[in-house]
Amino acid sequence: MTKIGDIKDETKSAGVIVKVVAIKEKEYESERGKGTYFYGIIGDETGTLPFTAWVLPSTVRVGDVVELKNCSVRKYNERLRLYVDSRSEVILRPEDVMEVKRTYRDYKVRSLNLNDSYVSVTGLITQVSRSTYEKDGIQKEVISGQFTDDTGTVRISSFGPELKDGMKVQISGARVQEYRGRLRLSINENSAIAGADFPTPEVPLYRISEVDRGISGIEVTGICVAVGDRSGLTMRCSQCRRRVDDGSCEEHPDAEKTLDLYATFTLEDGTASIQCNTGKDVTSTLTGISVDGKEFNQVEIESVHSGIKNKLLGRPFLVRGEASVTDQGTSLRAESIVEIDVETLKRIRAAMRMGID
Amino acid sequence: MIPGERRRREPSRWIFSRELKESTFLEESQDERIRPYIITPLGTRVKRVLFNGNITSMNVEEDATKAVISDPVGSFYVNVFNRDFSSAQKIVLDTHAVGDLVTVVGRVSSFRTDQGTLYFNVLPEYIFPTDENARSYWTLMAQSSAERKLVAIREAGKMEKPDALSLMKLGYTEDEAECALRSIKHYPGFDLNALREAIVGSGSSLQVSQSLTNAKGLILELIKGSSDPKGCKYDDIVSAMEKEGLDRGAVDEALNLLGTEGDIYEVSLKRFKAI
Ligand SMILES: [Zn+2]
Repeated sequence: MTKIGDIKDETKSAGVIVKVVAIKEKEYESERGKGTYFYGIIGDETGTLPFTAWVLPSTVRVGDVVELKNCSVRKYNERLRLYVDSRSEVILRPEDVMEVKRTYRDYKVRSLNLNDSYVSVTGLITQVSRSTYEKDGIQKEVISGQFTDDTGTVRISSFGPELKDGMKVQISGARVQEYRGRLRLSINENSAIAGADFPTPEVPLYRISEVDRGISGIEVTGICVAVGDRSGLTMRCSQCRRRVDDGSCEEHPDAEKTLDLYATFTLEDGTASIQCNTGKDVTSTLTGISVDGKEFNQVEIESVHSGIKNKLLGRPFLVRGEASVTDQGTSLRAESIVEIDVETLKRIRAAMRMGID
Repeated sequence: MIPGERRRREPSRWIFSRELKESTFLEESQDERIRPYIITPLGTRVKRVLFNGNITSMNVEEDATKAVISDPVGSFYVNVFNRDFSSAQKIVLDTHAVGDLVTVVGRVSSFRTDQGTLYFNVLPEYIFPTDENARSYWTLMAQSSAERKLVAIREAGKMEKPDALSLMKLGYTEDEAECALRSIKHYPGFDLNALREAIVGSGSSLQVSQSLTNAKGLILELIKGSSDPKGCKYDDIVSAMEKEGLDRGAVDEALNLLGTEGDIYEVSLKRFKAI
């Protein structure tokens, strides 16, 4: 029998005794018809390995110890993976107990993805807040915050280990999830958290083509080539924040309408284009228009729209914000936007020289 | 936005006029109604461009306005006709005069003479008034993009069978890797040196301060003294210069100038050698 930790190369005849750490079932269609296969992670006291099983007893569950004979190990996606196929043998070992040493690949925030859902990351914790939720009738606490390294920021939630503002940590076994086009991490008592030492990360500057996943705390530059027709003043339902320019909210007809100011625009930097949007505060700072406690007539509403266009079109900007990636494409919600000046040019020059590793 | 234009249009390429002018290859589409892509010597696949520069000549007539707009290394030829969607842009262009700094976004059209020479015109979709900061920003981005492509082409040239994945592993984006492969495929044996010198030198109008002159001296000494056969690492230069009280910005400016003046060259991404 081979130990997982000793599997370093591709082989055609591997035999292991392992615990099933994670398992998922997937349907596929081939010339011979429909079928199901399984994939997930197996491990023993020396490490873990991803696996794909074309054949497996349907009773196998997470936590089961199994002996796998005559399996092959091949590289998939740059990483070794164990394959269970028709010539392999699977023996359930219900009496066995096994500890699994979890191993996780190191990730930078900018490389996090859902294909590798348990990872090791190193970064700075900020903006910690606490809230409670109820599970099985018991009040439990969740600690939320932001997790930042030198490539970006994602939200982190802890259902176990303590998180404090300013902590620099290395976390093994953080889970990667996605919510509304944005990536986030979650950790629990099974995750290992340790202090780490590294320089406090600066906000990274990306070329637009490099913005390909939902992370925040990043900057891009670009020239504004288009401003959305509906940028400007708008009425929103105070309950659900939906636009209610024509009449009142269908779901909340009695709710008050509040005046909002926002802008959408397209930035290009020669590598790609990105849709940006700014909310009330940022648009207000950018244009010098404040809406709070004011009323506007139709002429003024139109002049706000053309004011935004004049301010943005054809001008170069540095935008900091949060990217989200959905079927509609990549967009950036701006937390700040400044027109590029001599000082920002210096920074951009340095960042372009370095690139993002 | 121009009526009828798709919501997701193709992003513009930021290239110098010189790169466009030296292009000799067109990638024709199966569909004859679709304008071909222009493949430049750096492998850039061009349909739309964004550039800025000074208007150096203008010819306004009833049915068309023709303007020459100069970037640091040459000129773009801009034609705008008094018809359909473009009449609005003609009105905008006609308000400008020779000497004005403008940013232009437009489609590139090409035509081949009987002798086979390709010429290019830009049909503007937008024309915006521009200032020095916007010009410096565009120049910086266009320069950095061209420089990265030049180094990627050199790296690809070293490979027995260059492929996009191997180039991406070296730190190039997918687009840069594909540009390098297109350059090798469509411009075999093309001498990129003149283009490189023109583009790398395009930022040299910056004023050189005394401290920058000092920084240049120190950095050149450091690069000359480096025993690394792969070239002196950028990060090592930055940390050595930090001890001399120079920040990263100063180091970058000095490196740019040294490159422009031909004292050093970038062997590969972020590695330098003295000439
Ligand atoms: Zn509502």
